[in-house]
Amino acid sequence: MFARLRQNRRLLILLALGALLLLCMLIAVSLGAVSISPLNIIKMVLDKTGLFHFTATWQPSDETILFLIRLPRVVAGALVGAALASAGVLFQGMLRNPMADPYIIGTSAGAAFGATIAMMLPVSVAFLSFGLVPIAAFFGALGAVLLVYNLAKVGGKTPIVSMLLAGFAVSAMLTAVVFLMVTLSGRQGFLQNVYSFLMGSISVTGWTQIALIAPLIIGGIIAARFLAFRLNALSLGEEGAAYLGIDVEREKILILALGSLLTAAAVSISGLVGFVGLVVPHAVRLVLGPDHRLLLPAAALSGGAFLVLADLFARTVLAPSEIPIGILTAIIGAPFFIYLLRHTRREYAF
Amino acid sequence: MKRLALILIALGSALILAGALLPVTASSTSSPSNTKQSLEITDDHGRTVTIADIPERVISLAPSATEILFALGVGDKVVGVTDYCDYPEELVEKIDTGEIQKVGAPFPGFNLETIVDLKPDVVFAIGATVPDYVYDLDELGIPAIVLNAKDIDGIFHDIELVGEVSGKEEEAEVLVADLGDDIDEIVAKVSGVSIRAVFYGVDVSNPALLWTAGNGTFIDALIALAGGVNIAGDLEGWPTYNLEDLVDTNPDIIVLGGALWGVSTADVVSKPVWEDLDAIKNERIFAIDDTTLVRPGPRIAEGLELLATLIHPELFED
Amino acid sequence: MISIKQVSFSYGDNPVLRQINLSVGEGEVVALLGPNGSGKTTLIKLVSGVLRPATGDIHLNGSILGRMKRRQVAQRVAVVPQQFSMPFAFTLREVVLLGRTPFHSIFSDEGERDHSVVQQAMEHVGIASLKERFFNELSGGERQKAILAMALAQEPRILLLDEPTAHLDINHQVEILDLVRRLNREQGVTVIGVMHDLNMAALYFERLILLKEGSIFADGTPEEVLTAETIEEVFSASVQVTRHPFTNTPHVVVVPGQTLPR
Repeated sequence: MFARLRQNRRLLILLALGALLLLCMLIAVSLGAVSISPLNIIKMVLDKTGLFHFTATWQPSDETILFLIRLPRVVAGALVGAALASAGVLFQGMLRNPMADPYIIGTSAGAAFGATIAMMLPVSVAFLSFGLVPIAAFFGALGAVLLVYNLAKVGGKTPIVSMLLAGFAVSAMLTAVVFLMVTLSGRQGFLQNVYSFLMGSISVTGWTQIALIAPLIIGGIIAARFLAFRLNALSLGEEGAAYLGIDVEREKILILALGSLLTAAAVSISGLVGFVGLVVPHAVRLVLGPDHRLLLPAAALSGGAFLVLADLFARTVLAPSEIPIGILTAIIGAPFFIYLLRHTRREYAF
Repeated sequence: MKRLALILIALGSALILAGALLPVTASSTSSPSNTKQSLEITDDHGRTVTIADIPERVISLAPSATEILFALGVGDKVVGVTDYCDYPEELVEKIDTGEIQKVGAPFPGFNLETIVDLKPDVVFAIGATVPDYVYDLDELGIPAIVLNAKDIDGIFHDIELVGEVSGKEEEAEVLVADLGDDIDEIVAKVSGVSIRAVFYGVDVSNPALLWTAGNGTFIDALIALAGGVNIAGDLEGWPTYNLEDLVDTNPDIIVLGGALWGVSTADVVSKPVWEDLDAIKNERIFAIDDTTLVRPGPRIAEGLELLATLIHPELFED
Repeated sequence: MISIKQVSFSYGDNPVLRQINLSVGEGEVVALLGPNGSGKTTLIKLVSGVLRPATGDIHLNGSILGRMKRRQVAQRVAVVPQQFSMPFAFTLREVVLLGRTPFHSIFSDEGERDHSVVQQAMEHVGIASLKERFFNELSGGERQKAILAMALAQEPRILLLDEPTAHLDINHQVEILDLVRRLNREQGVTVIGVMHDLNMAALYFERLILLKEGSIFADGTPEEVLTAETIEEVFSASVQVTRHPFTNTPHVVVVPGQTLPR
């Protein structure tokens, strides 16, 4: 009886969060630099499904704006937010360190490194309509993690502390190389491009990028959910988890791979958006508890909603200009998180 | 039960995605109607762009392209420009009245919604490589022509390209010829006179790290045409330059390019090490508005003249 | 049921266990004794499968431990470690529930059975009333009991305890050991416990194994093992061995100032 009740409670919470996410996406889609009436938006969407037919009370350019600029952007925002939050939960669970974020193991520096190289190449490559940078960022992130893992591996095991230290070292090194490249490059505007990447921005147009990345992110989040029970056990420590029958080294590799994949996918779309991967898992854990079976999907949904809202502000507050989203996530996220910290019962915080 | 819920969520998100991916190709906003002939253009990056024969609504994503458009008399067709477009006067008036809208800047990014809402027939952009936003414009079905003039001949080519696109081929020919004449005139004036060493300071706010213009920049090319030699000419692009080397080479003339944002010669004239340089002692240091020297547009001849008058003032005393 | 043959283990260059041969039958209650560094905890870890012996084999009911999957082992062997930290705010019930981990693959989730096992384990150990409290807010004794409950939730056939009474007040020490003994009597669970308190060991364990410098020095009943000579050899301490006034088990007694070896 208790099991069912608990599962129902979980389901209810997740459904509520899902509804919240959808609501945020709806609001975000209705607002932008160009004003399109919500009625027209609804008509356009229904018309597009082919089930309804409306005589157009809107302009063709509105359709382009809605379906090729705004909707992809909002969907991308949700995906990136969900991916980063999930990765944050994974890394915090594996490293047993609530200060961990998805970038701690070198993903961010690796992505920046890849992106900078791609930006430096004097080649105009239109790969599937979005250029070299996202691809380079993706593989840069994964490459860095691979390097960190191998550096930290000692005789078949990777101690957590070694991973953290190696991650720090590799990040520092790659970041230095990025800045070196920027200094030596001498190309005007290059610095701004790099800065843009470092600050993060969800500037997706069309659906190609999303079509490639969405399966990775959604698949990754679902796969992560299956690891939840074992993540719970890992909080007992590597030894405690081993006593419970968990193959700790294999689990660490799985979690590391999954978390890095989610982070790399997110970063390839949006650059380095900070805060989401660190704060959203925390906040959700403070409110809903540390059980990963609820925490993982809840953090994903919350992260998606959070980033969609943040991006909405980023592109409307100073329209037609934009605030880089990394700045906004920090400005919104920090005070909210401080509020949560001071007003929640669970004192051991996490 | 929990598993069922998971599967439902997975299916649900797959459905949402599928629904969202269906409208992948939006109705095109700017494809040519059947009554007009379309024109195929190859831009400076080898991209083939198809546009309506005479575009009625033009957006410029670069100040240089804006100047070219207005110089060719296409100003009345321009509907959108960047935040940095500021010439000619006609443009500024039209922005004030709202006839022309600002669409942003390369950083943090042009506002695509505004661009689409303006319903352009063609967009002009510049870039040493094809900028990311051009790929976005491709996705949105908006023809984008990328200009990349690397030297003065490149500028002439771009002027002709813009002329071809906008049906102003004759005006373009005339403009190119005039510019060519202007430039030749100045070059002739300074030929035969001793070449003077010039240092161009792009940014000298940090005495330990000077930024200058090297080989491949317009500034470098103009210095040479103006009867000078760029002491940083053997460096590429926009390199840093050592204060020690500056002292070592001791150029005849120093030009500071930041007058637009408040740079003046007073910033360096009394600084240690600087005050001993010949250029300062002989009062051959100038702070200028460098717009005409860096924009690959129709005012390049003005820029050349400006430099020439600084380098060889005695030849331009009239 | 547990058979340890020619097992050695070193931490790096430091040999900790040398050529241990040992058998523990089903339902036995065994205490591992010895000075610090004699290898007691290491032996427990080897039997749990978390460490692999450098030489030799350990057999569990005929199967070689090294070849069994970790999950399989954890379904039979539960360990109560000395301590662990819990960085997250799990409730006591959630911690005990973790004991069910070995019975779940990726695809299965907690069910009715799990909850009743967890409830029973908590009641057995006497902490059911604390189940919604945060684990980190419990006292030392309560935490140790929670860890024991978690181990019981594994429904193990073999229970390994690493100094289960360290840092505990005397009432909690007695409670825990009473519990363990009851578990053995009622359900036949085999118990191996590392003990530092010789007298408690004598009171609660039928068989004592005394380790010295990585080898078995003595193995037998408390009477056989706890003699003044043996203790002096192994612990370099001069003691008197009397009888417990009620249970008649050996009772080690020290005299202040006179506990140095002759």
